[in-house]
Amino acid sequence: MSKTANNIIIWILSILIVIPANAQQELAESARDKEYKVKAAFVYNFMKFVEWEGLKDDKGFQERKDVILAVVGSNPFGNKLDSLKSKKIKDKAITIKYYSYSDLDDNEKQKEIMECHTVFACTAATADYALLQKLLDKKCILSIGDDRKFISAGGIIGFDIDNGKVCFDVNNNSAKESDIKINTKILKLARKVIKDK
Amino acid sequence: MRKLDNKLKIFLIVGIVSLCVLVTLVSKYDDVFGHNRLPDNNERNNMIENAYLDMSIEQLLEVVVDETTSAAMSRESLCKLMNDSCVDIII
Repeated sequence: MSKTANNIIIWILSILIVIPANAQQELAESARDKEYKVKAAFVYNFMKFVEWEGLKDDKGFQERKDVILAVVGSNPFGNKLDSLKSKKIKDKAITIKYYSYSDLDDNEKQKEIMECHTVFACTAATADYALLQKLLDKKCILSIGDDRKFISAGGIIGFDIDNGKVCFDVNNNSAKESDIKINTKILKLARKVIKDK
Repeated sequence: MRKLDNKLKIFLIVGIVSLCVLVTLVSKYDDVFGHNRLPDNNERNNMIENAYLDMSIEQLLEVVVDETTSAAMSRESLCKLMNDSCVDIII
């Protein structure tokens, strides 16, 4: 076989190897992208269907023009949560703040997180979840975790992926302790509800 | 014969270049005038994000975010359902 023919075969083989590898990577990226677009929409819906009972008589909360959503940890949403800024929760705009788990050691940041109304906990080690839960314990804050371990650590809502679809579990005991009233619609649609010990 | 080959080459090159110019002009026309313009990636992403935000929880629960897992799970459920005969199905 001539040298040119050999070269052509090598080129064709390289292209055949590189194209599927790239396609697979893109597929994985787009699946993750889609997952967090859907999770962002879930977070918005959860905020729509809960009542911050503990803040009902809080004049500061009633007069506020926004509700604050804090994302704690390595932000998996990218800029996907920005679309929430155009939406409203009970006539209040949505403000989004980002923190890392190491911010939980900082007193100022701790205060800021405790002033938020919803906290999204990104996937983390159990110790980080425990630290966050210690901070949020019995505070009127809706806590949502990126994985199902989160509700065992005392969080209120935990996401999971089941059969390729996003689903969620609810710890209604934690919700009650935090004075958060979760709409029955959410409880009915949850995969698992932990309630009344 | 060699002269004919050269003419054919020139004809092909001119043809391909003209086609490229035509395609570029048409796409520019669409970009500028928005005539049948398809949304770019950013616009498409925004549209999809907004579509998800307008969905109910019931609808969101039905969105398949990981088609590979979903397909694998479907196969798994099918196997469970058909028990031992799953090998025959795969074949």
